[in-house]
Amino acid sequence: MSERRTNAALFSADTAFRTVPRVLVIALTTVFTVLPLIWLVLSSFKTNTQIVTESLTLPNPWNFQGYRDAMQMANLHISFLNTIIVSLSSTALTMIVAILSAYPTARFDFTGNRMVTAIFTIGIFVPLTALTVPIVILIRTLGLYDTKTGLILTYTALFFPITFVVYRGFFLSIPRDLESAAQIDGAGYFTTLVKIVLPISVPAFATVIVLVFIRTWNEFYYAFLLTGSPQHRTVQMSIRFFTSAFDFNFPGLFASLFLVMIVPIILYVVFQEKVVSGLTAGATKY
Amino acid sequence: MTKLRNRALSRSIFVSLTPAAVLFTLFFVYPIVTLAWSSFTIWDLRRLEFAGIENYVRMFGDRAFLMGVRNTAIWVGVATLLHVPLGVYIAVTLSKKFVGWRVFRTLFFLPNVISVAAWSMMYRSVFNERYGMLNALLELVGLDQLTANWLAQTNTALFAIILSWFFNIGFYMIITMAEIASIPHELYEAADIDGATERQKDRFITYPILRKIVGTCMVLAVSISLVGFEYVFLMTEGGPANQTMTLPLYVYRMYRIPQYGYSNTIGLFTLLFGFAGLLLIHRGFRMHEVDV
Repeated sequence: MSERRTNAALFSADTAFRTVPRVLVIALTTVFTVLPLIWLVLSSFKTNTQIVTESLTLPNPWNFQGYRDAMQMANLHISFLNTIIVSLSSTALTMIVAILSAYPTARFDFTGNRMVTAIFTIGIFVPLTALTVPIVILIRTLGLYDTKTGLILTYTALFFPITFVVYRGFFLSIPRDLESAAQIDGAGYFTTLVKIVLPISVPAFATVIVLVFIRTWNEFYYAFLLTGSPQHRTVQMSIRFFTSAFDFNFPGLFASLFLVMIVPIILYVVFQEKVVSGLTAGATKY
Repeated sequence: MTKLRNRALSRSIFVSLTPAAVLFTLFFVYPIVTLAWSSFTIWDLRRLEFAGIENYVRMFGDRAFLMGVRNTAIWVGVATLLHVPLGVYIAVTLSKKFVGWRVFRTLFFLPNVISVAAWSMMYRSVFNERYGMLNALLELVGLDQLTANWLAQTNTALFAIILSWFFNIGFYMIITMAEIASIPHELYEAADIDGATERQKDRFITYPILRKIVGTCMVLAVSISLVGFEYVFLMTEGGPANQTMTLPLYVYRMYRIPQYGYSNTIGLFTLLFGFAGLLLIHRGFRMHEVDV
């Protein structure tokens, strides 16, 4: 009922004064977010000449050389494999570290709880680019420069604060009756955590997996700082390949951009609500 | 909260917190402490020596740095004062649930799943003088005189970079829409009985309730703005003539030279700049107060 009424109000009585700016804003936002993507995909199927001469036409004929170049010249398949390894490992590690620390802060009244929670939460707001020198030096000192391990460790740390906040919020929201029962039965801390708490934490798992996986997949700055050689390059690095080495291979550039974007886009299309709630998780929790 | 009863439990909690504490110390505490002390040093590949406030004196006479401060301030200003309100406005509009609102919600969130790096490279092409989409579109609609070499001209470069992310409001749209959905229906029904117009309902019910969430969006906008390295690095590298320099890019550039001490001074400045902004918003939107 109320839904129908608001519909009517948007399109009729409340005058053009209200409707016109709304339509304009929605249209402009659509143009700036969707049109470049369509243009990018179409351009990736053109030839160099066609890109320069006919910017707004459909590819004619459809040309797949850009994709061949992206896979072969830029070795995108290696970057893909690297990115999957790095993203999955960081996701798993972040989850373990975050669960182990979020659970006690949500459940037990130990000395320093409030301080630990506050400090970990503030981590979300630290602008990570400001820490460039110390983090590069840290990774070099640990002997992990230009290794996947170094990158995995860095991502685990960088995405830890937000994951901590998400899990803590989740643990606070679930009832503790089962845990109390288990403790009365003599189950220890870790037994309770693994056997009782984890099984009912599945919804939070999905959220966090999406959050950390997509963020690590898309991370550019530290991948750029901490890896150099092609065998450790992530997909975000490979998109620079065609602008540095072959400045004039536009189809190659557009094709590799599209291939880099497509994995999270597919995840988004298939698991839309999970991805939306994953990426916005924790945003309003502090 | 459960009170601690025994030593075994205390030990378990300690063990449980250790991995996070170690990681956090290595990647957050140690770096921030390093920024603080090394901002008083000259530190490069050859030496590391105490230099007093030399870096700070240099910083405030450094035109590239000051350009970085100016641009970062503009960036944060546009993000908080125009970009966030745009997102909130779209959220309020889509919450009216007119025909097809779901499609727009899906489309507007799409840029949030794409990497900033790929997005920047895409927009770099969109703004290209010869083959870019923007100039081609302008010519198509007969606005030839508006075409430009967007990223290479000093008067358009910063504008173009900001434009590339300005309409990516998906994040703010989603959290604001969630907030709107949680407003009790009774409020609107009561307003209907009093004969309120749609506009009055937005003005007197929806927007006031959104105060805190707008504050949250602005806090997020500040943090996101301060890590927006890829946009500038991949589109202009700070050029032309440092016109698009930002603080994160300058931290990187000084690290590359390499002048670690100076880079860290700017990093520390960025950190404090960010926290000052967050504090200001937190106070301004009375986010610590509970609504009655």
